[in-house]
Amino acid sequence: MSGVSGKTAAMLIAVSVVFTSAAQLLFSVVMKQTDADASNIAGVLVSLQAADAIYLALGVFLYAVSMLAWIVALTRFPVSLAYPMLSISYVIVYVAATYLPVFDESASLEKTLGVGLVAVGISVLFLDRPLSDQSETSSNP
Amino acid sequence: MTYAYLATAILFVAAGQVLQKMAARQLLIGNGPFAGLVSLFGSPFFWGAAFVMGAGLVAWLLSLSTLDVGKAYPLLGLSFVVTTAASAFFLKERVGVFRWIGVALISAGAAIMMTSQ
Repeated sequence: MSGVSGKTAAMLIAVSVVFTSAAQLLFSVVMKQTDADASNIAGVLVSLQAADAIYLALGVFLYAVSMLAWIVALTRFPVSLAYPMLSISYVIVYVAATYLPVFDESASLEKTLGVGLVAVGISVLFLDRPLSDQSETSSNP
Repeated sequence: MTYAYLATAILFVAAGQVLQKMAARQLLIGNGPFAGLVSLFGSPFFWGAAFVMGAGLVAWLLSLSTLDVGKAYPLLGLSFVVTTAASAFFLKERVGVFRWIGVALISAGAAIMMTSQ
């Protein structure tokens, strides 16, 4: 099996994390705008204003690009290392939801502590094996 | 229903990761981006992943519309435990003790964010 370089794979994971976070925030904005019954997808779609539909389409596009980048990154990294990296998007969404006026959610000590635990957890993931041996393909380039 | 949507979304997230990895294992890198895309679009694992992720996205949208984003998003933290277990079981990845500890910390961090609403 061939794969991209570790550096490229790490960059692609970063792209995926940022795009996924942006998509989540866009979807959140869209769903806050609608009064339609949530269990009625068609009703939700019909009730959307033009601007919301553009947000929704942009979110789907970001997800699609994120998926392509992710699969290429997975040629190099195992899921059990790559997927937990997506938790970085928690931090991004928390900060955005707290400080962007459109979301207007409050910051708190607990939430900040949670973000800290997520950050520590990500660091601990890498203690399993030496960093140079994290990828699946490094032993047979 | 709110939490049923969320549970569905989490299971589909894990399935999507497993299928994406299976697609990646077949992916041919090195013959240019076009050849790579052609090989990817010919993979049933890729389309399977796209389907479960799309269905998971619908379930996620439904839970977002009834739960606060600051509450629904951290609850998705369970997906880290479920996906790690799926990668060990279905993909036979070696998941060492530190990786489990890291995933547990990440999920705990998410849970604390969840309960601070």
